[in-house]
Amino acid sequence: MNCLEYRDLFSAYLEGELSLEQKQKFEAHLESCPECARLLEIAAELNKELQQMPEIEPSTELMTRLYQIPQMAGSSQKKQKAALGWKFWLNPNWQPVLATLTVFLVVMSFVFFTTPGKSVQKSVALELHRGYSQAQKIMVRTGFIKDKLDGYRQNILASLEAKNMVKSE
Amino acid sequence: MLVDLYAKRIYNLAYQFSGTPQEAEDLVQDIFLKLYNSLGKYDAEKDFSAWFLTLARNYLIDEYRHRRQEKSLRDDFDELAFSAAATDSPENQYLASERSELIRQALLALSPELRTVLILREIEGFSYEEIAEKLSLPLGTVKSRVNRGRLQIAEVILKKTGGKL
Repeated sequence: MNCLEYRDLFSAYLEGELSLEQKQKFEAHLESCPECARLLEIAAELNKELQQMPEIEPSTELMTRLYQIPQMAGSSQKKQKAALGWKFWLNPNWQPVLATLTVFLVVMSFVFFTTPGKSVQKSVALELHRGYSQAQKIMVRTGFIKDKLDGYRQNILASLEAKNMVKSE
Repeated sequence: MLVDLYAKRIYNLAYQFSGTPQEAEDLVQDIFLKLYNSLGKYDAEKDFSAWFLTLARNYLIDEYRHRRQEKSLRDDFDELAFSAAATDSPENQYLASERSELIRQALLALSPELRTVLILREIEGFSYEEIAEKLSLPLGTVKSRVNRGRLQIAEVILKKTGGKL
């Protein structure tokens, strides 16, 4: 193994993931290679060094912008509320209504805008027309019966009047 | 006020993740805006600092993942050129005279891929498995990146100090 291959094992060595045999080979290489040994030493210290890295102060411009954020957040919340007005229809409670409306529109577009739909429309119109003429016939018959009943009524009244006249004489 | 209490911590976290002060400032603003918009979701029984730091960290990781997707085809040359510029500018050389600044500059000079896993491992203290899950990366890739990150920083320090850390 060369230096680069041993350096690939740095983390595994530092975190105790090498087998005993690998560890012995690794340490033997460190004894014969001062550069790898120094690099490993620096890498081993990194965790502590990175943890202790002093923090940088944010700029005053950034702090000024950060102080303004609560107002920005407030206005964006208002916008969100306004947007919610738009999203009113997306409320799950409206789903059955919207589903029904969709089905209705699909059926209507099928009836009005497709060839089979137009034939359905025709047959519906024909049926309606038939129904209407049936109703008309019934109305006519009803009128005929009414006339007949009126005739009977007149006859009965006339006969009753005639009987009364005979009695009174 | 929340800004006074947390701005410094969040700024430093964002700086470590992004690698540039300007990007870090933009990220901090986004994080505080997200914080104010999410305060309603905060459970008062939980530790606020931990909750906010998790929110900030998740935001930074999401940003990193988003940017990774955006520039997955970017030429490595750009990254190397940027890293060299960041490390070698007179201002940065001056700051690097301090030991911790030298380590910071070495960390910031890493590629975003190496820097992100190294921060999560060494500074934030996550396990390899947790990092793999957070970044949607194979475990082997995470381990290899952590090792490469450590090695690259060690090489920079060795080169700049002659091994006297």
